[in-house]
Amino acid sequence: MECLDTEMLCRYIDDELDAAAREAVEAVLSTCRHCAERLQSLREHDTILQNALISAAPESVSRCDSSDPQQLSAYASQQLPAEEMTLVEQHLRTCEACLQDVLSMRRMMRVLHRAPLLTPPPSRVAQARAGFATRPGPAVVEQLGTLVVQVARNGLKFLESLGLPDEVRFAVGAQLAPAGAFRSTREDPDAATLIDLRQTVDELDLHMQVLHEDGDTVLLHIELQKQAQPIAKTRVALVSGGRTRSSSRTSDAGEVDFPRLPPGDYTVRVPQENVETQLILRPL
Amino acid sequence: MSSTSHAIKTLIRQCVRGEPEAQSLFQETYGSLIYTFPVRIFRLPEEDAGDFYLYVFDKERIFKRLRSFEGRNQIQFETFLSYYVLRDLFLEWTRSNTRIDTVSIDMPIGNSASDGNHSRTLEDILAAADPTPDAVVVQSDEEQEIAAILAQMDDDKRLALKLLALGSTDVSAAELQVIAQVASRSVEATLELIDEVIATLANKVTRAEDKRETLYTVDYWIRTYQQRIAALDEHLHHSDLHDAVERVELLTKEKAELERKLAWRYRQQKKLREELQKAEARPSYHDIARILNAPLGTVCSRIARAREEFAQRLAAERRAQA
Repeated sequence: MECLDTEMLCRYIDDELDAAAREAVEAVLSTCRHCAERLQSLREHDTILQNALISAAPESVSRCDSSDPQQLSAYASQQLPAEEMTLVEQHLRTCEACLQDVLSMRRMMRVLHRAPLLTPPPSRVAQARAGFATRPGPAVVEQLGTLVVQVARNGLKFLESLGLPDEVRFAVGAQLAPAGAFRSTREDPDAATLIDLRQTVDELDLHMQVLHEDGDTVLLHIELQKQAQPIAKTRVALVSGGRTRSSSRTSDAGEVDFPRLPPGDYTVRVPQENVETQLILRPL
Repeated sequence: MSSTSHAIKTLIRQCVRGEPEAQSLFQETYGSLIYTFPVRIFRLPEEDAGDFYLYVFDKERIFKRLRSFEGRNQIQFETFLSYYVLRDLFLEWTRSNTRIDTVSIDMPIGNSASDGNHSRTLEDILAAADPTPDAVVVQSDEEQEIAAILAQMDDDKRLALKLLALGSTDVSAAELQVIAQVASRSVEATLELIDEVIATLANKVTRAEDKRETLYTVDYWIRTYQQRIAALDEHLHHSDLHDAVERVELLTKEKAELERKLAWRYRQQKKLREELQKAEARPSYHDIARILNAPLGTVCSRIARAREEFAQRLAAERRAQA
């Protein structure tokens, strides 16, 4: 009787044989000591391997600065249009942090919906609802306003601000003032290389510096502060045409840069602080 | 923009503006999801889930966090709401309720009264006392040795061995990337296929699904603790020397406590994986062949060669050590 090869022994261990083949293998094992020992050794190594895989070191927590929660949740829910799907796929092929988020989201939704959702007790529902009618409106401003800057080859000019809510204090340059008291640089003879724009509401200070680069592009430098302290490691997204063009986290000094921006309409969004402002870079 | 997407965005906008009718409608629509979230994801007893439910709506916390949502439809909104909003609110809430993440050892891990009828507690899974961090977080010498051996093997062979253990472990993000690449499939399609195989395995073994879900719960706790420890590390790293000594001490103490809890969760994770392993739910060679997009015969011989190579490398390693 011929000895069993490793493949046959593995298929025996993994229950991959039909009844007849299994019987034939067992017949060999009952007479061939060498095969029986090899089977035993394979099983022992399999146990070692399985135990090691179970105890594998946990993945480290990494972070992706260009992660877009809305896009990732749409991907995980299989709701992305084909063209965006391709872009996200490309990103996920190399970004472990975002892929880990997608894995976690999918598992989370599977666990949540494994059975019908639970109904909250009526007393709690009523308790929560009682608060709706009595609370004041949200304290944080949603839209800070729209700022329009003209971009030309020889420099920049601040043109106007639109829709600034009353509670936003605003400045072109250093001096903060109530909305409406700003100064347009439209009439200035010389174009500037830097336009300094600040919007402050409650304790939040959004400071944008638009710097002229070579040609028709600008570098947008943003500084975020709350109660005069930098807001570090906070995601700032630059949205244009309904899509996130770029997304980065602020440095320890609360700063983030978006270089090489061509003229266009941009939304600067700070999700953590629930604020956003519009910046229009208008070509000459 | 779809009408569903528009409706959700409008509803959220109205809620953010503080319109009571919209907020009530939001509560009716998503209240069950919000209430179920901590019960199923973090295995919180329903009694506490009621407190969390109130916390979410109190001071319009949930609406403030939803301001930036500009989603596509209902399904995406639920995913976004659960993973990015409710999870964060839950962490925030647990920080203000320190008893919550320590009491969980005694609570039923299957499901609460109205969510099933299992009566096991976390303590059943983990009978031993809380270990010290070093006891669990650090891999044993043998585990490190085997991890090193696996790392030396070709992707094809290593993945075949890993996929054989799919019943008790999950593929990592890095492994998923490699599988998608070797199988010439999209990440999305690879994920679908793996999920399908896992679901088949869960059906084969009684209560495997329960254990796997508990495992996911433990994973969420682990990630939560890891993130909180990382945040504390950052705080400590950037602490001004002039900061009050008491504050630094407090942060250090909090970090040590989180590390202890993290270690406990690792041990719980290992225990659950062992239980799943004992259930002997292994994917078939046919399933592994589908995942790797390789012929069945190739997978059979690859698994055999991988096991042979693993045995040889392990023997060589042991001889070298001797």
